[in-house]
Amino acid sequence: MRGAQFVDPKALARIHNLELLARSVVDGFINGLHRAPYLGFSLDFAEHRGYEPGDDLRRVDWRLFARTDRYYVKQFEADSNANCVVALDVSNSMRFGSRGVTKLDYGRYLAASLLYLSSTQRDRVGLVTFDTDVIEYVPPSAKHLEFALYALDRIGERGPGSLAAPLLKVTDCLKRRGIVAVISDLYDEPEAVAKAITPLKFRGHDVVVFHVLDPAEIDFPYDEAASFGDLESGERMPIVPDSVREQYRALVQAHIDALSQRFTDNHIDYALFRTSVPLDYALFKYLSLRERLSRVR
Amino acid sequence: MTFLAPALLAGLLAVAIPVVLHLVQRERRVLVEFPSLMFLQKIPYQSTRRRAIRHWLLLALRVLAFALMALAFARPFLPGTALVASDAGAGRDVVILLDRSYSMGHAGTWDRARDAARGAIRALGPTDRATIVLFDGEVEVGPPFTSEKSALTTAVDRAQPGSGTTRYIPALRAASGLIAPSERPRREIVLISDFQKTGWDRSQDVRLPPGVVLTPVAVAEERRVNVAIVGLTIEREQGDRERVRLSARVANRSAEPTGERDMRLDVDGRQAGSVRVSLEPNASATVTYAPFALAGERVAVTARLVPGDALPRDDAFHAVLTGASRIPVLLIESPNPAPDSNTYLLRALGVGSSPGFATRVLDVARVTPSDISSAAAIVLNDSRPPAGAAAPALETAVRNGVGLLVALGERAAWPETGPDLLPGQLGGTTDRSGTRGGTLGFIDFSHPVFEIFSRPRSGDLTAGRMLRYRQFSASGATLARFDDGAIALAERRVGRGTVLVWTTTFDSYWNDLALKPVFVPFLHQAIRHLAHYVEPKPWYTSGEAFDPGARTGTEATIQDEMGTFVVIGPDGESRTFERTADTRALPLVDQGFYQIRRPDTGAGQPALVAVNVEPGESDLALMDQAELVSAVTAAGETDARASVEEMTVEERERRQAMWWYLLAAGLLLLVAEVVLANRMPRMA
Repeated sequence: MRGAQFVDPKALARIHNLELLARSVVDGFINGLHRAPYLGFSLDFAEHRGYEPGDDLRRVDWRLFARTDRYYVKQFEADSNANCVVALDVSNSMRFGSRGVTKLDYGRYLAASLLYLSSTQRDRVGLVTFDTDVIEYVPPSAKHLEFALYALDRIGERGPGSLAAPLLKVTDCLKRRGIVAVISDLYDEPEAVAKAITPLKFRGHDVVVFHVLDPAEIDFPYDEAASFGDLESGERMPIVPDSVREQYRALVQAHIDALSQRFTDNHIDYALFRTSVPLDYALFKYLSLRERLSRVR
Repeated sequence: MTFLAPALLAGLLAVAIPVVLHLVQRERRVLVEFPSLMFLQKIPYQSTRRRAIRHWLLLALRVLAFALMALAFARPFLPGTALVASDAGAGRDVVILLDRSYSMGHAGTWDRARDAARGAIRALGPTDRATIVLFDGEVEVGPPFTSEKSALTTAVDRAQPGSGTTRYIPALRAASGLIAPSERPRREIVLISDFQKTGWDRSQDVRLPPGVVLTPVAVAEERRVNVAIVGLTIEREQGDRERVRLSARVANRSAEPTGERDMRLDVDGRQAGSVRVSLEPNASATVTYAPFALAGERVAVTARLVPGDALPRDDAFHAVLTGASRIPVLLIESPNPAPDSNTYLLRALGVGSSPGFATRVLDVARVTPSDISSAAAIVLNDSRPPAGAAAPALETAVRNGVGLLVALGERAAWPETGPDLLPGQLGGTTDRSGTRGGTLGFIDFSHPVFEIFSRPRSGDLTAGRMLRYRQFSASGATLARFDDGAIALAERRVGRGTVLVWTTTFDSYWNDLALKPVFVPFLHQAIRHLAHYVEPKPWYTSGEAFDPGARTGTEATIQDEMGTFVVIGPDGESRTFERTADTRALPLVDQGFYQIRRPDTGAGQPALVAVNVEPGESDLALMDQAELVSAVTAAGETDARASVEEMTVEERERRQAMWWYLLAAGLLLLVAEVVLANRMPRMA
């Protein structure tokens, strides 16, 4: 199967016993792991309501009848499967890699792992690749893992990127609430990034933002004075790294902090992934943390 | 210490280059691709500004290297040295090359050229010798090396720009040949020209002898405006009277618009039309005149730009138009011809226009010697040869140059007693009508009859199906064969005439070639070849030659007249031209019309020849003189403007050659700098 190489057995082995659960209620058809907006059949009691003709007698709470002499039926939470859509930024800036693996490759592995994990949870998986516009859209379906992996495989040369326009399209396309994972290097002002991503949240999706950065983008380890060329705009700038390193690091850290703050304010999960950290480790750490936080909530 | 070229000491300013490079370029030499400059752009510019100089040693090496090289180029030498040029008192030999192409006639250029030549003559020392060589496409060597300035000045005064085109290579070769035998230590060529780019042919090579110095003297203005008529297109319209439509191509060879000009057309000296034209810079246009009827056998036409510009030679274009010539063709058929045996032949010959064909059809039994002698080509179409008095007349006519085309069908025969003209023996008939027939298999495309079909998509001669043909055993040349190897077309030269044998017919019964598109051009080409037709040239280009005794058009017999001709040139002067076996052609030099006649023709119409200047010469774009000088001279011998004293100083400097050591030291320092600079990052 083309694209299967992005499903890293090492990463999957590490996270196979974890779950990517939606924190909000999601729309689904079949039983799954996520909370559905409807009442249905599960072990989680939801509420009582008065018996109405036609209700299944097996659902009558006889103990309550003994106490109140009235017929009540028990209602339970419904568990559902969910749409899990990964939006992967494939703009030129994602092609940067100082240690062999580029951010795009890292993002592809990350996307494939998430999709595979969701698929094993019986979730419907979909994929969106974008730069300044949506390039490829694999609509969420339980049978679309293969298509999504193939789409990851055939990502070609792209141009500059932006978040607002493509994510607005994604927001319009995804009618059913689900999980949306955005994988990008988020090279835009924090306000603009938040403005682009929060509409997904407002539509009821559980949005997870994976901020993928190369260590060189954070630490700026360059020594030699050189012309630095922007991978997206082609603009060049003479830089003496020694002179700007500290200020650059401070700006990047401020950017990350600002993003984190804005996503937290909007109840959006934000995770910074360095491409120097093995994917299995990073993903395990994130999913474990997410599980723990879910329990807390 | 003195410098030969102190102005080049300005190159010492180059020591600033390493500083600038150190501060500016060193930061930019490596390109680092980075995902986004978003954060870097937010950092105040001061922090990305040029870095301070850290590697002082590198800087010192670079500065020193540049300083040494600047000193080397300034050519230093020690004036007090004992080394003195041994030939300081020796004279020079100078060849003054003076361009006299027609582009030198551009306003003021020729005067400047002559002034430059006179200046070069005045600069000659008492022991110097010089000669004048005038050149365009041809080279005219003046008086031998002489110290008499008056003789040289007279040669310059007499020179005038002609109609020729600039060609530097033959001129430089001639000058090289003149100066090579000179044993004087200082030899110089002064090239005075407008240095047109079109005059320099890079594909040819010429090298001046070692030690010969070439001094270019450019006399052209930087910006020259020129409009030129570069050609005429002649379209003939057939009708009751032949009409001619002329189109003239005019080109603006300058970077300025021409403004409104008249393009006048003169026919036999009378204005026949005028069209207004306006051209954008470096643009060209085609002007079409109203058609006019040809009044006589030939008319002289001239397209002229009115008013003219600073270069009048290319403002007019001449041509001689001749009435459509018709080749007299005698078509001899058998007494009982097949129903359509001549149909396709007559139709094909009837559509010819340039030349046309005047075809007469005669029964073989009625052919007379006078019929034969009046034809330029004879077609014997599926018939026996004429008998009686016509038989020897036919043989004589062919030996005198008349062409004979024999088409073999079932009625063709050639008796033993017939004229000895056939290029082989006639045999029986091959009938391939039971199958799909044959095709032409081998064709000699190098032969004039088939040459026009040699290019791709120029006609498929193998399209015709050959159902029947006569067997023929050729003793002459075979020009075409059928696919089974049988001969299709054979040729034999008889005297000055040609005999072609086509072993099948020109009807649609034995083959269907007559129904194919290639039939008409094939037949026309064969008749032209047999009639020795020569297309009359409407104009010649200056420098070409015209053979007044050669056959032109459709004259029945080939001329080869030797003797005296009277030539009246475009300037109106009459002179004689002696045509001999060695000098058959008259060189056409001047632009305009030449009239050429035999002395004894009296009032008869003379031959008229139009001569135009080469259109390429009207392109006045200039070439780089340094390129020409460096291409033809050895290194170090290009600067020849030095006076006698300067030459002595130069010689002194050349012998000391200090510049060489300085340059070597500078380069060594640069190498050391490269090695050191590459180690710097590791050292840091």
